[in-house]
Amino acid sequence: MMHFSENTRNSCALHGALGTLNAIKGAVPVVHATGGCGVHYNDAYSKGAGLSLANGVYGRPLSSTNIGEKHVVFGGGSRLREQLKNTVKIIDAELYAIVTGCATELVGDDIAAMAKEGVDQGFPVIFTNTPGFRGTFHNGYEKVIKTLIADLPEAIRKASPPAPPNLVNVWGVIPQQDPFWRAHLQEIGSIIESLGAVPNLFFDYNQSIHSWAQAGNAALNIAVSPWGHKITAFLEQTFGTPGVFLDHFPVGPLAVRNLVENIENKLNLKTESFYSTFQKSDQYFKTVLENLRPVYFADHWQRTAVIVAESSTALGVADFIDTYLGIEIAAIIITDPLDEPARNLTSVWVKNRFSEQIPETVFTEDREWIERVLEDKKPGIIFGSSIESAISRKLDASLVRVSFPIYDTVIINRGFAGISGAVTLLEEIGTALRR
Amino acid sequence: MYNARLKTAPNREKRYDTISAFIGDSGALLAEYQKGEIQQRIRTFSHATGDDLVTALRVVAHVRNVVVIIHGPEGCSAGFSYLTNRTELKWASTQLDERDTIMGADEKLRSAVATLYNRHKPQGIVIVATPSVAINNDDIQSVVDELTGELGIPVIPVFVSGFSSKVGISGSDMTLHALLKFTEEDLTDTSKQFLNLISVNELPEDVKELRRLLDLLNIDYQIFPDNAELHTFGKSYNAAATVGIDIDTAEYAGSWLEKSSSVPWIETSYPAGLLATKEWLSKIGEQFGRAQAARDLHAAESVKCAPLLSEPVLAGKRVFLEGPPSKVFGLHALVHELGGSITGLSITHFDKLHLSSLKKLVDEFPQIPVHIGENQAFETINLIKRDIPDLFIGTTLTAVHTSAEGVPSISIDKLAVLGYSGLSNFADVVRKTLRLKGFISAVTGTVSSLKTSWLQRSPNWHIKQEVK
Repeated sequence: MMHFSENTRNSCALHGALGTLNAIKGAVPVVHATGGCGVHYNDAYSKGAGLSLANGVYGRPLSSTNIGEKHVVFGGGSRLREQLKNTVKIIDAELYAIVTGCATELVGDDIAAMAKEGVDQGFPVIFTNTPGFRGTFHNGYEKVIKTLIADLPEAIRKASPPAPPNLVNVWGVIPQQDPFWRAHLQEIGSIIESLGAVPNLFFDYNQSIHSWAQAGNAALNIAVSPWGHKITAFLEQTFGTPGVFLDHFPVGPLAVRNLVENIENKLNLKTESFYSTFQKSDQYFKTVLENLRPVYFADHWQRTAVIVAESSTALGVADFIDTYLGIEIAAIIITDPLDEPARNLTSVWVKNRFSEQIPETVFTEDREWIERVLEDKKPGIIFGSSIESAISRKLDASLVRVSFPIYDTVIINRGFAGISGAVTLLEEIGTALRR
Repeated sequence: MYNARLKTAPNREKRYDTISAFIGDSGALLAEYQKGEIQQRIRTFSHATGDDLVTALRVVAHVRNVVVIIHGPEGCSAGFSYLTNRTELKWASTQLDERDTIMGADEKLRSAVATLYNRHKPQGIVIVATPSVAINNDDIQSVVDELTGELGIPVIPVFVSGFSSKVGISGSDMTLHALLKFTEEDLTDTSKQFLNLISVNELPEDVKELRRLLDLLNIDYQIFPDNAELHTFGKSYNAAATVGIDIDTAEYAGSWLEKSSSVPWIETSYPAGLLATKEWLSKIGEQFGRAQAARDLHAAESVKCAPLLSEPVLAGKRVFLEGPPSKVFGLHALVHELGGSITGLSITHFDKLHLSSLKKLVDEFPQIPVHIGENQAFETINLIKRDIPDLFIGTTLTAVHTSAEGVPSISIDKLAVLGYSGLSNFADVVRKTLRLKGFISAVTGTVSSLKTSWLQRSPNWHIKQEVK
């Protein structure tokens, strides 16, 4: 078994916690770690995620204890106490969340005691242990979400309005690890709204800390990636809320329709109005494809593709380009660290979806392995990250950037989910093939 | 302070009484250093700040034909894809998990070094330590000793920890210590006719300008560590002299070569602005018997810059500067030459290496506010709000906040300032920034996350004397 990966792209639990908390309006992380932990996060996720920060590092510099040798030797608990006490005086927030790095966990600082002191003083404080050696960005996302649901301060719960009927929680779109997270959440939210239900998206400007207080009283949970499955199962178990477990977010009209049918079945909604709107969108998409024809034929879109991406994006894109574009998929390389059951589910999905010619499915984030597959398959088009730009030049293949890290493109509010996202993807493919 | 037998370079606090927390006036800071009564201060609140590991990665990202292994959990190398995107360096993380932190991970490291050697056949392998392996005292050295002989290439351990110093710049010394210590002397050119130019993570445009000037002076040179292969380090022992761009990152290697091989270290200014560029060229010229050529070159280039000085873009303008000390003092020279004045400055750290620059500043501004701290935006903003400048030049992090105050702002991240073309570029960027205020107007008034109560407090409220 290999004990390393080249050009890793999944970072650590602390960074996942920071990405998640920074995307929540009103929440402020308090980092108990070496100073560089926060700076690495900034380097990776302000610059590596298409600048897709929310209220993040630039607008809201990280509170961090920046522990030194003294704290490693004698413990850093008192430094955390001091930092927390002063963070609430300097940074405006509705919730302060202590997160930890490797050094402070190895030293064994009592984080729970420090958080409790903060709570005893009347401050809205939670904590979660997120050392980098205990998981990737994705695990940090899962961990913080469970903490937010389980340990949200009572005062916030009491001040929150009751959950509206037909509230639908959306899980599995990981802020920043998915550089297109904003658009992906908004698009899924729009689909839910068009059914007459209320989306609970949790992140970014149209959400608030109160979204979290309502999570347990939702009517439905939808997971749109494997990283939402455990959270959805946890809520099902804890609150008895039904769940929809999907492997990927929907791209294109057919996938949107499938999602809607899933929600309908669970919520028993009358969605005639959706279908009349959907028909118009479907027709619009057909027109887009009609208009695309000259470009499609002139630039020979009928090529072989390899997809290198996080599972949700990879399967969503694979489903779409197979359904609508006649692009052959030679391999799907999944870069997020799925556990064994999730890998099996993914492999089964690929097998069922592509029964005639099954793409090779590879699970790795190792650049060398990825490049070996690409050199073997010789695709004309690669759906990947900025890391694949060198190999795409070498292979003379076009590159569509769909997955983290993306450090050579600015992403403000675009993505590939839904019908409008599918149109964006068509534009991206067309542009890449023209270059 | 050169001692090749040391495992790593001593941190800056020990070497130069480097400080990373201070708010006061320029005169008070100078007095503290002149009296030799330097106070180490700490913060009771801080934003995340660069450490020795962050700096080490920024240095090794630009070395060529090596493989870099970041020995730690995956997050320690999270930003490395971005840092290496232009260099296409081969690198890997050993992805340590909880079990590794308990049982040790030297076997993982050994396997990674051997496999990566076979994959890429590099000229050397650089291993960068991280907080987890530093705390657990993982045995990197035995892997280095064993595999250096076996593979026949240098295996270079950079012993950083993330907590060994309060200032990130220590990581630059620690990385150069490792690169010099573990590369063998290269005897292919023992003519002692060329110059070592130490460039650490400098902007390509800035380096291009200095290369142009050295070419015009007809001086041979080699540059390291930026874009250098390992044999360049080995060749450096046989140079005629060593010069740096930024004394902060160059002095350690310069002293090393002077003390170990009698290669003269040319101590000179950061070459930003006409006077400092002249000094930089003159000192190099003198060393190479090209003093007159350096004077002629300066005269010719100065003529081209004359229009910038006759109608200076910063006439009557007040500027706040922020960044690493060499850059900030260099920007002070530029602002001065272009007719502006300074309302205050914020530097990442300060030590004896920058005393002469501070003296020049104090001569012009005896009591100007000085803030010392890296990424400490809560203090910088508090300070800037007390005396709003006409222009802010500093980090992107702070520019986000100053723009919310309606202050025209320039980020130093990609701002070329060196040499004569740097002066011209700087003047051009300033002119546009002061004239075109559309974006600043649009973002003025953006809500800050800093509490009003904090902004009304003294900015040095959270800086305290360190109790040992």
